[in-house]
Amino acid sequence: MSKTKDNLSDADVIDRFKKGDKEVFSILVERYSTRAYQIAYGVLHSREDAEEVAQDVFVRIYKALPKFRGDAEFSTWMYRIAMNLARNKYRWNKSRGAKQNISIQATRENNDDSGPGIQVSTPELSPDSQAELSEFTNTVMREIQNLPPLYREALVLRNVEEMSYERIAEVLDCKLGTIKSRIARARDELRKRLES
Amino acid sequence: MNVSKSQTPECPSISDLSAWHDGEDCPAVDKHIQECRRCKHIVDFFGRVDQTLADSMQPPSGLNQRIVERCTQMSTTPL
Repeated sequence: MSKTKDNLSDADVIDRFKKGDKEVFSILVERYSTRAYQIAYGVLHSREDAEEVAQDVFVRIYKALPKFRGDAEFSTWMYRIAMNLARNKYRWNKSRGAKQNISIQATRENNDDSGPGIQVSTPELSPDSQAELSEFTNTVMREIQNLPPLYREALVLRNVEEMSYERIAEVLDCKLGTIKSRIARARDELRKRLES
Repeated sequence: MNVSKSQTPECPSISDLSAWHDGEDCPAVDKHIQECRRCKHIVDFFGRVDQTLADSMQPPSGLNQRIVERCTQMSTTPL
């Protein structure tokens, strides 16, 4: 009995791709594009840059997949590529002195490509609460950008589908205790900056 | 609610509070959080930051399609 699309493991998909079935690549995109985007957005805080990085991640994977040996899980490999490309883009932006232009006007209903912006919709809140939340969101995202990169990367990965400390350690090639410490320091630093 | 932000010497470390917030099993921290408003305030803050990140990292619609189109175009273009 042949497996349905949903039942294919990543290894099955990669095997088919290597044998010439290029259409199965869309399965990997469906499974992992959100996570690639989230990593990039968390590092870059720009919707435009995050989409560019997410696309670049899969272009890289598409090119390299025929030679993928499976020494690490596909997802780990993908996370590493996403983090590396996001890191490179961050450095490039920093070297160019790019300014972050953050808009929190958009809501999730307007979730389109209209440009950078944080998309938060909380219709159950009063306008005052919405404004307060938006200010908090804006401040949090700005301060995350000001964290030391090692702290920021660990915290961002933790918030990509609640990635485990073990997986984060694998992606960033660190010891478990180091990850635990970096995440705690990132949070503590944010708390000090936001509550001072 | 104004809560003093300083922890006392009896409070768990920030590292332990952060790990507890992420699901690490620690009965001592469980008990402490119920009794200490300062530490409760800190882990509540961690939760707000996580929620903020989760809300703001949602991808735009059509992302998958654009990725697949770009990869497909690449595969049909001679390198």
